[in-house]
Amino acid sequence: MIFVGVTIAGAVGAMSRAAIERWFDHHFGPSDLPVAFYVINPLGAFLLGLATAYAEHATISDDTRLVAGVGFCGAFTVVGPLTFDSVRLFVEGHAGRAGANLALGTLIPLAAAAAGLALG
Amino acid sequence: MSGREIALVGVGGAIGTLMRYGAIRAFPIEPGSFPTTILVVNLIASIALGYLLAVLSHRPDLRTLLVPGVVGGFGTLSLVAVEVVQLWDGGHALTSVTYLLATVAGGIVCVIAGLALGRHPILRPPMPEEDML
Repeated sequence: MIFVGVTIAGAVGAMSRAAIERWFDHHFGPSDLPVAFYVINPLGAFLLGLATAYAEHATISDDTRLVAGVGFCGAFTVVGPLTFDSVRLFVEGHAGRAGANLALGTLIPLAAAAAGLALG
Repeated sequence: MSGREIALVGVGGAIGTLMRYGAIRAFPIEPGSFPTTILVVNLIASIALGYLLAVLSHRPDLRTLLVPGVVGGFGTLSLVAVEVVQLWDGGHALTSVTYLLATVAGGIVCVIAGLALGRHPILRPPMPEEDML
């Protein structure tokens, strides 16, 4: 029955992502770069790193890791801003910004995941 | 995005998450081995993303349900980031780097394939060459 918890956590993760995206749109206006996801994806990667490390040290149960990690963090974070927005920036003639988006969108979540794993 | 749209994202996100969890349960990944399941999940999500953005430009509610909802809940970046770091730390550097590159480069190819399948206008206009690096 753990799939019920994972599914509900996934819904909450996806809605949290949409709410943060909306907050960024309101406060910073529409941007060429997917700025909200420079916060959303690293935050989700950090939390998943924490949950993974806590589960390995048996601080939390494996079920909790599944709900919080595979459910919430899994749905909270997305690859689209990395792939689609880089393609969009490139075809719009902004190859430099496309490259920056790829680099930032990859490296910040990796650093955040490493930090979460190390701190957990 | 209105409250109603966020609710649509939640419904879609639940469906996408359940599909991803089903894939992980059906094709579990051994620690230290190549995470094929999540790679395939993300590549499918990338094709779907490109296609749906192309064909649903005039169906905003359905697009909200399916794109940030189902596809957003199905594909994931956090699971990739943590797995890449864990593979690297576990001495599987080659697997780690291959997995990261396959996710990013494969994702780009799949997004373009999806956009092309749906004939997205973004692929039609000529590129402004003076801005290209």
